[in-house]
Amino acid sequence: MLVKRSQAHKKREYEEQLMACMDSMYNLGYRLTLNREDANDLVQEAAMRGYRFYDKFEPGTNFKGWILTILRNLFINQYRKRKREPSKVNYDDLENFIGAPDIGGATEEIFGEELQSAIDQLPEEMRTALTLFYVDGFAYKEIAAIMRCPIGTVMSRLYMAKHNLKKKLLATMQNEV
Amino acid sequence: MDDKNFHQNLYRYLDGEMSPEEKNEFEAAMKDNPLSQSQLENEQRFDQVIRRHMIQEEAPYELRERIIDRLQHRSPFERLRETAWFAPLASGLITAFIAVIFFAVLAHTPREFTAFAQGIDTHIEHLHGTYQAEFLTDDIDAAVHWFDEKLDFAVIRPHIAPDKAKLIGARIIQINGRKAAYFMYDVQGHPLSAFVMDMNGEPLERIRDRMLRENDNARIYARNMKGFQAVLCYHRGNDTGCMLVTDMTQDELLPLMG
Repeated sequence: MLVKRSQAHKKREYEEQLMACMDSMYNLGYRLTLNREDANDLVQEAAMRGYRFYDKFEPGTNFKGWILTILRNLFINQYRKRKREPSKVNYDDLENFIGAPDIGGATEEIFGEELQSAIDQLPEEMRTALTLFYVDGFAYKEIAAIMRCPIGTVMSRLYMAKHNLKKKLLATMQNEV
Repeated sequence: MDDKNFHQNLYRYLDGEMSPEEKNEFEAAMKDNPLSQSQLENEQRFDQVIRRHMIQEEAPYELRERIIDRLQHRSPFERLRETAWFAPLASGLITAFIAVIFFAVLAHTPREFTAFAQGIDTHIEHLHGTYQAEFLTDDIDAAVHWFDEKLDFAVIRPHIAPDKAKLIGARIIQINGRKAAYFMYDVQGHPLSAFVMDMNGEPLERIRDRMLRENDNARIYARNMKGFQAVLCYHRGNDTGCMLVTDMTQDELLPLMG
């Protein structure tokens, strides 16, 4: 009876925390897979795996960070092999800082779609860093824990992601002209 | 502040990753630099555009329902996998299974015939003085009799013409993990070791290619290793073998065996 009650309590506790993170999981899942059905499957598998290893989660620590780490690792191990990765960023011209284009007002609408497409074309680690920073509001340190990399790497991934987005948008602006 | 530093600090400032002291320092540096200020403003606007377009979507309701349903109705195997003892038990079973397969394969793997190599190595050790005779005699019958009740098989006389080789002594030795009778000879200055062994279970089929001769009663095999000649005479009748090891050639040794 005692064992059953604690299992029920564990499940309830897990479900509550999980549902609170569902939007973040779905958003990251979509950014990783770039496909809504795959995102649903990935989130579902991550949820089941999280429950299986819930005993290893330390109460009081960052549950969202923990479950997003599981989701991302699942993507890397199972899904990434099946997906064609977007073309790699050319790091050679990273040396030259590109100033942000002057976007505002009516032009922002035009660039909205371009921006989404440009984000989708970034390599996975940059899409992940952008999503965790801009959508979930994680700090560099928290992103580093989820992505299992140094803080310096998080900074350079965000930097490179924005650099690449600027390049694409500037190219679009020149074409519009 | 150089260019590289400025851009690194710019992003840290925009991303809220600076300490209050660093922030004050950065803002003070920006105040007197209109070009940098303009860059900062552009970056801030760009940042806001990204934020406006990277909004969080709501997870579909059906996804939430599906997950809750799956958590409620986990399969028996999924429930089993969640128990504390599942992982150690599964690892133990897998390890046991691998061990069973390994030993089954090992049991059916044909053994190598190692008596030649062991006999030659023992002869070399004898030459180095490692093995001394335990029973000194030049009487072969006395030597054979000495092994009575010391070995669990009937020791035969080695196949050497007594007038051509001088017996020095005998001792017990291990060949293939079994006790064997070791007779030490001198053949006109050439040391010769003769080993009489129980051949029951020995994989003679593994040295079929080394057979020199065969008749109804016996087979003779030969091997040359490390500069020494080993000749084995196997007796089918009593499943014993007599192996001679020496530095003489095969042509010199075979006539000694009669």
